[in-house]
Amino acid sequence: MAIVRYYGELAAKMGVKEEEYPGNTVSQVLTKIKKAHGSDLYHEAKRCHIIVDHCNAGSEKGFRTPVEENSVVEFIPVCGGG
Amino acid sequence: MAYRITDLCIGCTLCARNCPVGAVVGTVKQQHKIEEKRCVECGVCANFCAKGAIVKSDGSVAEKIPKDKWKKPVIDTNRCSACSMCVVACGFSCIKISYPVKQGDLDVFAVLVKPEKCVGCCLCEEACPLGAITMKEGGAK
Amino acid sequence: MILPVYAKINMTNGEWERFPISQELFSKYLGGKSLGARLLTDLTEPGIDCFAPEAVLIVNTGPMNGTGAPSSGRFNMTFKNVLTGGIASSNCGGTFGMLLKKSGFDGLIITGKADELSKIIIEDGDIHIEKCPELAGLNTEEAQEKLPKRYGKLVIGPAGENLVRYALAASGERVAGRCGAGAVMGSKNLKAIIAFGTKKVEKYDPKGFAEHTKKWVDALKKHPMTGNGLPRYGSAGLLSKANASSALPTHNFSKGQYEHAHDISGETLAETKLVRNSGCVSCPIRCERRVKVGGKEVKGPEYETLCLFGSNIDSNDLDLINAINYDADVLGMDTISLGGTIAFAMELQEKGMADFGLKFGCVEDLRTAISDIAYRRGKVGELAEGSKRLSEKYGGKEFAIHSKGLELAAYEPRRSTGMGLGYATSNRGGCHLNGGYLALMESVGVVSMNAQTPKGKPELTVFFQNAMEACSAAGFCLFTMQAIVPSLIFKYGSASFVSRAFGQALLMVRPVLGKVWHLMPWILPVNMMLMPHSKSIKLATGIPMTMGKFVTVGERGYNTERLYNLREGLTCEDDSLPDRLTKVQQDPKRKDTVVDLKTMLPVYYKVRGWDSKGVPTAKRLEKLGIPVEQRKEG
Repeated sequence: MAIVRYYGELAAKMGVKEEEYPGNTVSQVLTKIKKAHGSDLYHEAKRCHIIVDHCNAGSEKGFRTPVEENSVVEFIPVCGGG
Repeated sequence: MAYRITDLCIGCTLCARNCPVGAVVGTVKQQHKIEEKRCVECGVCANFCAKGAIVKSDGSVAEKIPKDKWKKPVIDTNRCSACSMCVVACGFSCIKISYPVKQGDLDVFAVLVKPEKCVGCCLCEEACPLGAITMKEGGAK
Repeated sequence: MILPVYAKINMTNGEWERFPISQELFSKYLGGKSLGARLLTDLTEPGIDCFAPEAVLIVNTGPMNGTGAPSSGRFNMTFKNVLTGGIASSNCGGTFGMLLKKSGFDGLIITGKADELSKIIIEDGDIHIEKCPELAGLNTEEAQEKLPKRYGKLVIGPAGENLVRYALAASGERVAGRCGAGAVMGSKNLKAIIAFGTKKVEKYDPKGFAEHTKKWVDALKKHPMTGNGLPRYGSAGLLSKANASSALPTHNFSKGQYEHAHDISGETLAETKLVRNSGCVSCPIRCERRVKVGGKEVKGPEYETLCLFGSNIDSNDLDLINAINYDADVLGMDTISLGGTIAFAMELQEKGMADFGLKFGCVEDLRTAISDIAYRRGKVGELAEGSKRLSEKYGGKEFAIHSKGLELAAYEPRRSTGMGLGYATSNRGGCHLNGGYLALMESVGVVSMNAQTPKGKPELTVFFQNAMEACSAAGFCLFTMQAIVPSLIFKYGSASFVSRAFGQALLMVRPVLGKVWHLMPWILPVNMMLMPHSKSIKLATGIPMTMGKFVTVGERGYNTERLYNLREGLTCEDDSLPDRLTKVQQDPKRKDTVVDLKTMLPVYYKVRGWDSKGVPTAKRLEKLGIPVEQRKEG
């Protein structure tokens, strides 16, 4: 089971900060999130920065980034700044 | 171009205290003077003058509008972007940006918090880049 | 065309005169930092000391200030850099800029030195200088409370009076922090400048301008970054992503990840400390944080402050960061340079090279130490000189994290190498914004780009350096530029194919981006909502501005600044970073986690049209309309 963490706005909307889901890739984890929280929150999670074990999924294999047993998948809302 | 004060002035200081840009100078019981460069021709001084001592730049006596007919800003909260231009423009800190209703609420806008202090100078209306402020007689109903 | 009016003020004898700006100069440089660089070059002799009485301090606005265009409240200060000896430009969002303009002046050129502490008063097109012993020693907050209420104010704190090399100038709670603007004011015995007036800011096409502004504000409000991310989390929102991308400077830039990063993140700040968000005047984005310090509502920390007083000194005390942020503002010091210097001093202690009573992770007495630095008290007072001078005295140059003398902002360049190139080449020293801010594309933003490759980075750096320079010159906030990132990417997310493809595409277009500057400005003879700045300038000023001309203003400004740096003795040798970032791999297993400056710099120079020593070629200068005689062989 991978540990899934939500941050900021998303955590408030999900009503939970940490959950566990099975899955071998980010996209499989996302499917589980869709089942549990519905399509809207799934889309919102998808739009976040997705971090798998301290690595940015965007610079790895995107949604196909592998997730291992005990991996930590983090969803961080996107922000700008300077 | 600016308003002027004639020798009908008795030096009651009301106009000086209520000028939204601090353009009126003078001491008590002496004829006051309007700084030409500072004056924005809003006519607020005339509204306070009991002696009709304020004349417009064309020389005609400025009309005195009774207090209940003064215009007050009405803010279109949907259009307002909370950019604070009006807050800076107001000489009497009548306008403030609203506080968020709950944590994480981003939907804030300008609010007329001290309507009793508003002199109806229209500076906020002029400052608003989005046209979200309209001056209406008696203010929001 | 409405031309700007500047005033030249001599602090020595208290005299002033109007200083007209020609139409040619105005359309070429607009204002702000670009015009500032031009004027500074023209009005000063080479090689003078930054604190000399004849040194010039320029405080100016851009054509957009006070027009009500979105995020156009920013003004600029240009002077000889106290930390680097090159050019300095520092940007601030306080109300001073707008009120300076309403008082009848677009800019001030201040020279000379007053015998006693003085203030400059600007009212309705008139200027006078008064002594102000009553303000001596007051912090920026107290000093502003003592000054007349409705005026736009620009003041320095004790740090400025004591010539701390990274002292800031404050307007309201906003500050012109970097490069030591406050120290330059202090060296002129200038405690405060205040301005008030009611002059209308004229517009060339008021109706068209109002329409365009409405459209632009709507676009900013709808954009996920400027309409949601920035107002909700501020720049602090970048911290979590920076940490995830190993780009969060930790332990004086020796690591890129901090185990307690979540404690100091923007999300935690928003959930536990944030009272509300706020903004500079005329800004619909409103990224400013408001937090409570000692029961009082004050400005909250930016991302840079959170990192440099958090992970970079091994501390996760968010309350302390808020308090330090407030302390630094009222005492009058730049939190980036202050934080960088403190981390350097901590590493000196760790390595046994010098002891200032500062130790990684031990932050109980940090507030006292910061106060001591502002007043240059005791041994820790030596930190007022900045990390470069400290490293010259105590050693440790390889881990003194600065470029040209200015401390780096909080983006670990080994995990965003383009940012590394930006830091190294930035005219004012180690600055992320002046440096092109590629970190936002590479490691902290929504675009997923290969952060390690040196390929394509020089071309992108040049593009963004120029665009951001132009944006500043006009008086806009750089955050308006962030709406350039297409909303589509936000819709699909940073892990999506779209984001990855966009990042890849940006790197792939390098042959085009590398050559495009030869063809500017006529290759972009249009105005598009993608970059609404140019049209806004056109409608406000009447300058026939296009996107091409707009970015060319930036290129011209950038080259002018570069020429000033070369004139003042900086060379291509100074386009560098400390060895820690260029030679030591951040991740021992990954060879590419260093900043490969050797590969990127020659390409960068070539794209800029500079020779191999980083000197702008006569050909390029001629094309940009910069006086060629000012070119000095490097």
